[in-house]
Amino acid sequence: MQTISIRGRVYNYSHCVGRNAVSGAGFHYPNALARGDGDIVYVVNQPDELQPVPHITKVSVGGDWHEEEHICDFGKRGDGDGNFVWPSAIALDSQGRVFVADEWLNRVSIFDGDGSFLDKWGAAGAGRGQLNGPTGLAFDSEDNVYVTEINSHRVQKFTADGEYVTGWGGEGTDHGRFTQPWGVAVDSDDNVYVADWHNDRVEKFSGSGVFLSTIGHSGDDRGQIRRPSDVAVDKDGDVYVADWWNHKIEVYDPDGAHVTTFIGDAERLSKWAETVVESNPDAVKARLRVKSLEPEWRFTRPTGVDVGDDGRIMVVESQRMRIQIYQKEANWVEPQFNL
Amino acid sequence: MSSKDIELMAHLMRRAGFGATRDELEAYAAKGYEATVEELVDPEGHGISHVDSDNFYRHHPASENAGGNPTNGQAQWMYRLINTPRPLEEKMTLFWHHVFATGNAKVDHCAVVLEQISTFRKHGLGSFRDLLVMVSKDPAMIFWLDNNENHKHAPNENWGRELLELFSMGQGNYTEQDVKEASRAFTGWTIEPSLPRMPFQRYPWYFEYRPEDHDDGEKVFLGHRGRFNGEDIIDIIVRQPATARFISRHLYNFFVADEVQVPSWQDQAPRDPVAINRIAETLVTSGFDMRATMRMLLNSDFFKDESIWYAKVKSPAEIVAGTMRLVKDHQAPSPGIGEIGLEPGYQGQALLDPPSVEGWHTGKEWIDSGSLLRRINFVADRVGDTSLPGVRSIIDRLSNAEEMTAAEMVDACIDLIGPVRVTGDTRTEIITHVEKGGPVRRGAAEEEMAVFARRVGETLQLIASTREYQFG
Repeated sequence: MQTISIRGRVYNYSHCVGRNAVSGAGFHYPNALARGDGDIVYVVNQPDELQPVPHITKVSVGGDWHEEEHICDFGKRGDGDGNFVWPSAIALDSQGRVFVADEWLNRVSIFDGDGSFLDKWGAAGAGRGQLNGPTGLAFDSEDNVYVTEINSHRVQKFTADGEYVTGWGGEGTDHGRFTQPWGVAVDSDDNVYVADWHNDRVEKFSGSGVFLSTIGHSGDDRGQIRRPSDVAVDKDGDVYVADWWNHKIEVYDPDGAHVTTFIGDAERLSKWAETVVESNPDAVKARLRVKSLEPEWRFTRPTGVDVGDDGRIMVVESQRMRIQIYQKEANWVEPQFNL
Repeated sequence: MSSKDIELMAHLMRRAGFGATRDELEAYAAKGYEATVEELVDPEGHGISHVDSDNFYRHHPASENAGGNPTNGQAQWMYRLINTPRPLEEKMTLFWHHVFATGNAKVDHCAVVLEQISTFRKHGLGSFRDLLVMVSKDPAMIFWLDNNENHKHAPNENWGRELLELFSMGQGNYTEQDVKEASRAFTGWTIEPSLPRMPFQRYPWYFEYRPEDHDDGEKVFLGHRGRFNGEDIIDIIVRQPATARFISRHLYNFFVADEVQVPSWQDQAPRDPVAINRIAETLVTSGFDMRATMRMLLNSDFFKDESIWYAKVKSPAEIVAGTMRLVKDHQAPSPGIGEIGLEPGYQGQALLDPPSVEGWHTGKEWIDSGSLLRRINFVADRVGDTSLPGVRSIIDRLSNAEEMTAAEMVDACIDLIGPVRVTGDTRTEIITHVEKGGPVRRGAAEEEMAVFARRVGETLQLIASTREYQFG
């Protein structure tokens, strides 16, 4: 289904971007993304044990099918300035500077929009203001950055220069506690949403850490989530949760009521993917002998979700090396039913 | 508890698992031998958790859908070998992959081979009959032995032959006609075509039965006549005394003591015919229930008998996983697990990639001059690293002891690294080497403790370099 109309909302499938590639035009086990200006998107690529090639890909996703362009890659394996071991999260501040967290090196590296290294901060440790496995990054309206940590099971708030502001959490299942949290998001009122990965929920807090509500609960059906990897909030307050375990995106209204579910709709190949298939006659034939191409359309391990004020919802999938893009329509007119 | 209790428990854990630290051995010994066996054979019933694979895949996504090169897939299995709280379950997984050897070198799709490994993990202590059916439907096995090329009007006998020769009865217990008839019964057992690996990475493979490609005619198999399908063939196979004997010999060779290699089994009598008979009898009376069979084997007198302690050359997987468990390295997802997963291959046992359908040759054939050096260096590098938690634990235990001579320190290290049996001239040489370093002092000062820790690490390295350490 390319158009979902439900509860006063309309979502249209836009297009997908990506293919499997260790560098250049494509992604490598991507686990996070962040929007730049316009169609610009930055994607975090994870290394693997055979090809340890952690890096950031800067792409223009275009506005429609086959408009994508690869702009540049930056970062490589290592512990020197601008290098990564396990890059885990990405966010842009109001100046367009790119912040990348590294879970293994316990630091946040800062780049300009073209990938030139600017600075870094973070000291390893479980103490206040130290980093212990950072896995999520999100800025508020005042350029404070929230950092989730898998090993200390907490969220900390820093200035963009890395000065500690506040923090909360600790391992547990009570409200305000986390078990191996992953992604984090901030809404237009500067409330904070944490993807509480191993507790199968999203928790919402004020910017100072006061618990406000829980979104989603454990399960495998529509509206339920298991191992949420990321969260995003649109300008209307609707919440998008990447259900890592069940390969779907769950959408909730501002009160936490379930709205709808995205399961992936990439019925066409991206430009880069099409190039690969068309260059291999055997691949073309192999695609014709399968019972269905549907497994290709569907999300597989969504690891990052982002939504902008333009209503574009972008989902990155670590096992399918691509971004799928939906559009939340502002002024939708239903077509004639009996057309 | 006596040192004999600890030594017996260490024997059990080497064979039914991948060794254990001293803390673990003491905890098991406190529970008692039979209670420990019960926990090993029925981890689910005892509420023992699994390895947290979600957390591993979160950090190593390439291991979840590993491609043609086996590195990321081997990393996944090695992480489980190192961290499983269910050691016998994982040892049975290794055992069954040794029996039903399926190589990624041909399959070229590690995730599919790992799916087979997962079947062995889930069902390896269940019914052998059911496992044979699952293996017959396993996409990796179907591709490995060409059953996707076994058609109604153009049979391929590869699967049918190996089913009888290597997976159930052994040579000399069936005829060429039985191979042909078994192969006919498995026509139409194939794999559903999957999407190609590019451009978005690989997709799972699934078993598919195509009735239109199945030879539904009458067959005569091992004296039975009927319009047999694959499961009928397996039901006849598990009723054969040869099958119970063949699997018994595999179990004995893997868990009890080194035997000659499989091709010699039809010519050479078992090392312990009485033990083989007991295992075979248990298989038959239990309906080929592997849990009941392993319970009997591990509690048997022939298994506990000291004459078979240290009578097996450790496989490379046992060397690597056992060492990593001893030193407590890679206990959480971390970079570098790929290199550890490759290590058994460097020593002659590439995980997921047996050299042929016959599996790996075991016993003394694990050892050649190259592999021996590699084994020693791998272990020595780890046990000599005094920053690793398991090595620190050994140092801490020694630090709490009274003053000791060089001989006492060597004996304590021999005890804590295994225990292993390092005696006679070998022990004397290690003691002599330690004595050359001067008196063993464990002062309170940081510098003296660092020297002591280094000397313990060096002593552990010397023990790991002995011939005796290669036996389990």
